[in-house]
This record gives sequence, structure tokens and C-alpha cells, in this order.
Amino acid sequence: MSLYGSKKFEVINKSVPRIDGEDKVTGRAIYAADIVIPRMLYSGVLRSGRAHARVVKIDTSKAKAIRGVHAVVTADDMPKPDAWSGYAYLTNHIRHAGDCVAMVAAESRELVDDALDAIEVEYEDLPVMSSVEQAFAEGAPKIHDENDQADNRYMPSCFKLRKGNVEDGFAEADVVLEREYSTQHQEHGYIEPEAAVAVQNPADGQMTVYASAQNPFFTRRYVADIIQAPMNEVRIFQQNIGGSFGGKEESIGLVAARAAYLCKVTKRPVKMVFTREELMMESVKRHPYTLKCKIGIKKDGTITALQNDIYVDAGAYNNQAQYVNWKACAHSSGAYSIPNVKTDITGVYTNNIMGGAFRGFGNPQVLFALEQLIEEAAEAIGMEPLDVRRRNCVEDGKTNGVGQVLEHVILKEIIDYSAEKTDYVKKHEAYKHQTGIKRKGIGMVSMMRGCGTGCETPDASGAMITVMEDGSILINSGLAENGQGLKTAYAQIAAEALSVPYESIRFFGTDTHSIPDSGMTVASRGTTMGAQSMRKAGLELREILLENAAEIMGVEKDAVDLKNGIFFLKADPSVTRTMKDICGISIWSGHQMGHYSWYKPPKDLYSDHATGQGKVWPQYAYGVIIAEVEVDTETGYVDVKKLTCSHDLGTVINPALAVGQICGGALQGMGYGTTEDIKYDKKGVMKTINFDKYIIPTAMDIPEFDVNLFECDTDQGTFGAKSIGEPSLDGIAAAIANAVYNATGKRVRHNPCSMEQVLLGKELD
Amino acid sequence: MLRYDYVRPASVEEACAFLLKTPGRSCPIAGCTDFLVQVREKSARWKDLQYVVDLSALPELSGIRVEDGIVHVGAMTTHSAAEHSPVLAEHAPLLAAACASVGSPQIRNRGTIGGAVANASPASDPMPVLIALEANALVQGPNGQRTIPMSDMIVKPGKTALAPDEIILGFSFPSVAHMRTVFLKLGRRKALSISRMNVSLVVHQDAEGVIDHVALAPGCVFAAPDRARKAEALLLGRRPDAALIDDAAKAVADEMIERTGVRWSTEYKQPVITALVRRALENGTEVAE
Amino acid sequence: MELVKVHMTVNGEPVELDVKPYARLLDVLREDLALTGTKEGCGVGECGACTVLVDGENVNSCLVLASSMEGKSIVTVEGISSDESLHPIQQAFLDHHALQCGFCTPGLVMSVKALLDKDPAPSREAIKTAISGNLCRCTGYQQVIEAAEDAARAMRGEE
Repeated sequence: MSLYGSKKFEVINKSVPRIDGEDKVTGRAIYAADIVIPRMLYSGVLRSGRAHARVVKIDTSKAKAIRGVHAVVTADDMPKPDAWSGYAYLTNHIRHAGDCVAMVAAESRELVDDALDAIEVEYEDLPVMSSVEQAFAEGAPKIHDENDQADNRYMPSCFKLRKGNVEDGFAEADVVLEREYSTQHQEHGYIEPEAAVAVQNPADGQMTVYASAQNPFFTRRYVADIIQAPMNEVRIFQQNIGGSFGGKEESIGLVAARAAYLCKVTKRPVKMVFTREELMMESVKRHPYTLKCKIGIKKDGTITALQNDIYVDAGAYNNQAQYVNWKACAHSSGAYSIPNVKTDITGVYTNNIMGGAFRGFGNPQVLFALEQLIEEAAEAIGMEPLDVRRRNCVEDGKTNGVGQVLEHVILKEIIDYSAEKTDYVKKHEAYKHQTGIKRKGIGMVSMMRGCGTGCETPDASGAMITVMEDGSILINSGLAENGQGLKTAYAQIAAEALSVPYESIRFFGTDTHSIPDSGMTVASRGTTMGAQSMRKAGLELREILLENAAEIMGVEKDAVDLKNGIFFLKADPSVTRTMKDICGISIWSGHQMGHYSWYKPPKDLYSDHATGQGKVWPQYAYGVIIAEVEVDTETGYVDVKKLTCSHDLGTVINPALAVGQICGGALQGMGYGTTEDIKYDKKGVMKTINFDKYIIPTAMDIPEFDVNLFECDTDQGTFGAKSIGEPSLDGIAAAIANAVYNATGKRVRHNPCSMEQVLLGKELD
Repeated sequence: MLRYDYVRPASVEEACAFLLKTPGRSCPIAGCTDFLVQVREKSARWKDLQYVVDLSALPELSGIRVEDGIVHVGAMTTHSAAEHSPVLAEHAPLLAAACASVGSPQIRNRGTIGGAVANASPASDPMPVLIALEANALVQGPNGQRTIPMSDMIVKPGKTALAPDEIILGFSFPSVAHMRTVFLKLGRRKALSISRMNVSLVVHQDAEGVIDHVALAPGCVFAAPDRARKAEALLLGRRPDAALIDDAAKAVADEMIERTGVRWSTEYKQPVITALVRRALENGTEVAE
Repeated sequence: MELVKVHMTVNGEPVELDVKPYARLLDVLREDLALTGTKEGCGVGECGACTVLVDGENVNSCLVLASSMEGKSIVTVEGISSDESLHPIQQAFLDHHALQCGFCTPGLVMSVKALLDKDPAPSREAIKTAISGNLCRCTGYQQVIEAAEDAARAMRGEE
């Protein structure tokens, strides 16, 4: 197998139009902030604007006295101001500048603002720990009083990887290098700020929240928690979601919960919409990592040992550092089969914005370090990095960092293809000898990524398919559209499994009352694993429909087949019945026309906690990124000219969607590698709170994209599909950093390659 | 949330009269691309704001024309209008270039040159260009009109030389059609970018190649946009060569440090403004072999 | 605060409204006229999700006072297609998968429209410039640019 194009399917593997495309290009698609309900109140929160403080006194009387203000709530007013997840809906102990001390609901946005302005708060400032160094110290002031560690470590986020014996490996090496790399916060930068509208049914008490939720079931936990209601009384209705990338998990939970609480106390529908500034202040970011790395390499290019000590700025709350760190740890030796690997990763609370889920989930940080370290090691022994990559990369029968024996590995093929297509070796050598002001550079990254959640949590899911009497079909899943095209891919997968036309299928937003929780739409699992249940439901329902048709047509089941929505006799394909015919009869004859199915992954996955070794993912996606840049050596400006993105997708479900994911992920990665950085003032308060200061790429900044889709023989994943959402971003910043080095001869070991980093080797603020 | 009333005067006189009547409580508005951002951020500047006075529909404030070698640009000229103006393309291409580099098409379609100047943003793109063009602002107050040289317009960041009841009618400057001009901008991205630094240059060399006119205005370098007089003095009367250009470029950086002191950003700005000025001079002059 | 009476044309229909003097055009479109295809992403004119046409020019409606729109013609994303058929730009976006989450899409469509109304055969660079005030985090803009090129061809009557 190799480039996309040789697999044979009826519906998948083709660029069918998006199922939600027409609604979106016309502006008819409804997002949560568009919803208006009669008697609806507006709401807002008061943020401390201090990085670490305690509320000494809070006076809400003036706010409450404003006519048209219906609720002013502080932490003291709430039965449960702390969220189930460790976050705070409202708090008197401010742990970062985005923390909220009060919330209000009022008749208009103006009155909300007036009420917030009228709340008087007296604070006692506490020492601000805005770096891991400050917080991770014996006796440092505690950010969480209940944390039993004296140094603000968050123990559940600490993991180990132990493969072989690194001391032996370093002893074997001809050269041992030690380097330190670090990365910054990154904001997801979805264009739609979090929004929720909560409405409670006065008769039965059911709380419905319309929300821009990445994971409606996850959001449901927050809402049930804040109003202390059983989950079956809480309904989250996911609206079109204006981008998420991992970001609309916790923050939308807080928004939806606060709206629901205000709805409950005011007995009025309540809308809460974040401003851009608020989401910058309170929505999680990509965790900053500091990676102290050591590598041993022999003169022939064999890597003998790798050691990583990784420190993670977890921010003010427990925020998935444990999951991100676990994944980073498991991927810490990248796409290389290194006999001896030792990684320790430690998450530490600080007074910064919290880290959380973000496309890549630890991998971009690890690759930023590792893929530069590989090149530094290659240079130390005088070898072209490409050769070191080829010599050490994973292959069939070899093990990766977690000790898993791999199969169907096409990485070397992708490396060779990409290198040849870009003329990498020649350029990489030639660019080292430039002397001009503007210098070109080329940089490579090779990578692998576990598909889905692996053994972190079972990759199980449920799906339901219903056929109507007119032959039209409705599908439903516990996983959710995030903008990536999940509805379209699922409709294709259902159509493929059922043997019906794609156009006969609709998929509306996820409603938590309509289907069981299927875990989160995360970890690039939607297509590769989450859709397994859709395929299964489709295949099973197909059998049921064939039985129905056989009975109605008066033949044995084996005699009937179904293709493209038409039933026909195998013996005489000219005898046909349409889906509408069969279902139109089935509805009145008691035949089953819908089916719900649950997919449970094989139980052979495991990971040993002490060593991180095991069979951790069912399969891995491989990829190569080659970045070509032009660096202005007088200003430090890095112009990314071309990104060659070559990815192993197993089976491409929808090539146009895949290309969209890859270009979008690559550009987000380019922002991470060049301009995107969260900055704080001297008091630890975030300064980069809107798109004027937090700089993401515009259309004028885009490089030329060369996207190469590879497929391979694998029986894992839905119809053989692998992950693409995260691999698209993972290696971009690292490839840019390698390209910048190629151009300038200077290593940028602190992401991003900003003008200051490239010119001066440091940030200035 | 700041709330205010809206006033749409029928003439400049009416606008000035209203401003006079409501000192410190009114803000003249044009495209609002800066104003509404400041309102959102609850800028202290507008804490007493009661009225906005909409100048955008006043015909006497629009238009770009050239008369007797003098270019007149109405205050309500949008950045887009300037960007696409055939008059500016001929008589002041660097002003068109600077306007084309502002924000995005949406911002350029609304934001006006008069508004940008009245806002006194330290990172303004047209501002240093107007200084390099030796432009004057024509200003009207309750007691009539006066002229303010653009080099005197910005008193400090966010503060202009305008009295609260004065309105900018437009800008005028001699055509530089016969001179070489350069506008260079360094930003962190290629659009929607605030200048990290910029350079405006208007220069003329006589038949022998001797510089007989030079105006060099670096942006985001001094506390307020201004000409780099020391570099200009080096250049004037000389035939440029690589060494002279280097010296002039360094002189701009030296003057920056002299005037603003060494700040957190100096380590970056010093070498980079030197490079940018050198590039501007290389582009803008005929260098002797 | 005194409401301001404003006469404008919205998507071809004359509209007379009493607006709050400080109301943004964005709020009036979304709330008073229920035209929610125009989105708010940043409120400071950086993201372009609120892009509409005012007298044919694309502007950020979050940075426009509704009270200053007297006599103006405003076109929103809802105004360029009919129930029966999509505008060629919308069709091209659909055909080229030039959207993912769709939140920035109306703004992008309007910026492409402003461009093609003036320049029926834009270069790739002109397209990039025209949409440089519309941030999109999903697509990487590649398919958007291809859609704009295709829309231009379709509107010129080619293919």
C-alpha cells in the first residue's frame, strides 16, 4: 500500500460534500449564542484580575439594588462553588487571573455589566508563582490547600517510562548530548467563544442547556453537579460548534453550569456567552513543557539511549495534566525504536492559566524537543539527520517507546517519499552554506501517534441508526461534531456499512437525552475508534433489513442482497425493491427498523504503571513533516514557505475532509511554531487576551501546502481508518525549528521561533 | 458598558459648536475602528463620555486632490480610499503603501486617516508617513481654522495637539512625485499586523546624486512618531554609499537610545531598526558605485 | 439615552429602526433583525466573523455604530442566496470543503463577495489579501482560496 487511491469502497474513501455544509455557507446554521428564548436573561461573571489572592470582603448589595438585575451570586451563596473536576465555578481563593468571584443575571447585557461594576471586592494578594521554578519548591505557598505535596506537585500527573537500562545505553554510546528545550502556552483560537443558554422546564424540573460543547456528556457532568440534580434531569443539546480542538471541554462546562445555576435561581432562561477576552483568560491552553533531554548515539548513527526529565506547568487547576502527561510520556521516544528509554514527567500547579486538552495532547511539546535533539545528535557524529531517522525509526517487528511490537509500519516509505519529493537532502546540505541576509532552511520531523485513547480509557462507543418508512435514515452517536466533519464521516461510514446512498442519511446534533454517553470526542478517536460502533450498527442493521426484505419479498434471507439502497434477488438482480418500498411495509408489519449497537474494543491493551510498558494502542499513525522557511537574519522573522505534510491515514474516509484537517492542523502548528505565545504582565496577569495581541496566522501567512495521503493494510480502526486530527499539528513546530536551524545555524530551543528568539535567542517580555 | 448619545452634525461648524458646548464629554468619531475598541476596553480616556459626534458623513472632510503641487487629503479618507487613490499613487505612494498595510480590508474600509491621527496611536502606520511628507493638518475650532505641522501633532502616546473642540479637516503636503519614497513595515504577521517598527522615507538626489532633500521618520522607535534628524543631517548634501547608509542607519538607532533610553525592547529594536533604515535607504537612493 | 432613528436597506429591504445610540451594527443585525448568520468572534475587528457589506464594502460590523448607518445599504450572508439556490460563492465553498466548523464561514463568504464584485478575476494573492481580515482556525485557508478562485470562474460564466 502507499498513496491514497488503491482501496475500493462504495461510499467512504470519497470526497462527498459535508452533511452540514449548506447550513453553514448560508449562515442558517445555529450556534448556541444565536439562540433566543422568551424571557431570557443575560449573564456574566466578575473576574479578579489578580493571579493569586483571597477575597477578604465582597459586597454585592449595590449590584443587587439595580433594577432589572435578578441574581448576584458569590461563592458563599452557592452550595457547591467548586466543580466536580477540581475547577471553581466561583471562588474566594483566586488561583489565576481568570478566576471568578461572582456572577450575575439581568435583563440586558448593559445591566449585567452595570451589576458587575457595582460589586465591591476587597482582596488580599498572595505571592504569585508564575513559573514551575517558583511553584515547584519545598515550602512554596500552596495553590491548592488540599494538595498533600509540599511543592505544588500534582501527583496524579507524574508518570514514568522505563525501557531497557539507560545507563547501559549511555555507556555504549560514542557521543552523549544533554539539551534543554521548552515550550509555551498555546490558545486553541477557535473563532466561536463559548456560549450556553439554559432553560428549565417549570413542570418537571428538567434543565436543558444549549451549548457549544465539544463533549455534551462531559458538559452534563458540570450542569448536574452545579445544580445538584440527577443526570437524567439534565439535558445538553449540542449546537453547531464553532471550533474546539480540545478547548471546549472544561470552559464550556463552567459556562453551561453557571448559566444553569443562574437559570435555577432566577427561574428564567439564562444566556451566558464568553467574550474573546474572557475565553483567553479562563479557557485552558496547551501545557508549557520544559524538557531536559539526554541522548546517546553511536558513530554509526544508532541511538543507544534516551532520557527525558519533563516539567509541566499545569496552571491553577487540575486540568488533564495527568492525561496529557501520560500520553506525552508514552510518546516520549517518538517514532524511534530505541532500546533504552527513561522518561519522568511531573506536573506542577502554578498561578498561570491552566493547561488542558489541545489537539496534540503532549505530543507537539515532546516532538519539539526530540526532533531537534535527534538532529543535534546527528550533527555531533557528522551524519545527515535523515540517515539517523531512517536508521532508528520504527519498523515492522520493532518496538516503540512503550515496548509494543509494531506491524503495518510504513514510516520509512513516507520518509523516503517526502524527502525525495522535497529534494530534502540536497537542500539541507546546500542551505548550511548560505551567507545572505535572507536564508532558506528545510527541516524534517518523523513521527508516530497512538490512534484513539488506547489503554488510557477503553475506546468504546454506541451508535444508533433508524430507518424511516420513506427510506430516509437518521443516525445518532455519542460522539460529537466539532467542525472537523464527524457527521459527514459518520454518515459515510453508516452508508458504507448499510449499503445505502450517503444522501439518504441525516445526522443532527448530539442530544444527551437521545443516546448513551460514549466517552469524549477527543484523542483523534472520532473516526478511527468512535465510528466503530456506527459501522457495527450499520452492518447489524443491514442484516435486519435484509431479513425484513426477504420476508416481504417472500424469499429466504440468503436470497436477497442490498446495494446502494436497493434490495434485489441475488439470483435475478432485475427483481428489486427500494428501501422506501420495504420500509413502507415494514412500519406496518412490526419489523425492526432501528438498531442501537455498542462497540467495545479488544481487551488486549495494557500499560504497566511502573514502567509505562505494554500494548498501549491498537495501532499507530505515522507521518513526516518537512518545513521550508526563509529567515530574515536581521529581524528574526521566519517566513514559512512550504509545509509538506505526509500522513498515514490507514484508510482515508473522506479525502477532502482529510486535506482540510491536515492544512488546518498544520497552520495551527505553524502558529505554535512562530507567533503564538501567551504573555503575562509582571503581576502574572495575562496580557494577550484578544487576537490583536495573540497572533494567529491569517490567509496571507499561509505556506504552500503539499499534502500526501498514505494508506496501509490494517484491520484496526473503522474500515482501517487511523487518526489525523492531531497528527496534522504534532510535528509542525519542531519541523520549523529544524528548518530555522538549517537556515541560521542557531538552535531555537524555546518555542516559538519568534522574531526575538531567532534574532537574540530569548524572549524579551 | 459605556453608554452615550449619538449626534450627527450637518456641518463642521455645527460639530465644533457641539464640542465647545460639551467639553470633555464628547468624542468626534469617524470610522470607529479604534474608538469602539477603546469603548470595549473601557478606556479611561472615555470615562466622562456622553456624546459621540459623527463626522463620517460630512462631505467637506472627504476627498483626495492635488492643487498647485500640494496634495490635500480629507480627514475622512479611509485607508482603503488612500490605498487605491490614483492621486496618491502618483504624488505620495508611500502614504498609499502605509494605508494598505493597516489591519485588514474591513478595517481599511472603515478606518480613516483623520481618525488614526486623532487617536495618536504610537504604532500608527500613516502617522510617520505624514511626518516624512512634512504634512500639515488643517484644523477647525470654534474660532476658525489653524494649521498644525504633523511633526507637532502627537504630544505623547494617545495625546494630540488638538484642543477638545477642534476637528481635523484634512492634511496637505507638497507632492513628492519627483522624489523617491519608501515605506517599510515589520510586523509579526503579514496582515492584521501592528507595526513592530516601520520606516518612512522621502528622499531626493540631484543630478550628481547628492541628496538635497531627505525626510526619514521611523515608527515605534521614539516616544512619538518623529523624524530622525541626526541621520538626516548625515545624509543631506552627501552622495550615498554603503558606508554612509550604514552610518545613517546606526544614527537612527543611536538617536532612539538617546531619546528613549535603554528599555526592555532595546536589545531587539537597536539592531533591527538599523537594518530597516539601511534597507529603506538602499531602496530609496541611487548608491554611488 | 435617546434612541436614534435609522433608515437603511438590509438585504435589499428598506428598514426603519430605533436603535440605541451606542449599539453596534452587529448587535442590531443579530438581535433586532434576527440575522444571526453574522457572528461575533472577538469584538475588536480582528477575526472578521462579523463581516457584512456596507454600500458594497466589507466591514467588521462589531466596529460600526448602527446609529451611523443612515441611508446605507447593508448586505449580510442571509442576503446573497435565496431559499432555492445558493450564491456561486456559497456553492464553491460547499464544493471545495472550504469550511469546517462554519463559524467564520459567513464572514469569509462576504469578504470574497466584496472582492469578486470589484475584481471578477482576482489573482491568488488578491484573494489572500481580500480574506486576510477573516481568521479561520479550522481550514488553513487553502480550500477557501480554491473556492474563491472557483467562484470567480463560475461568476464569470466559465465552466
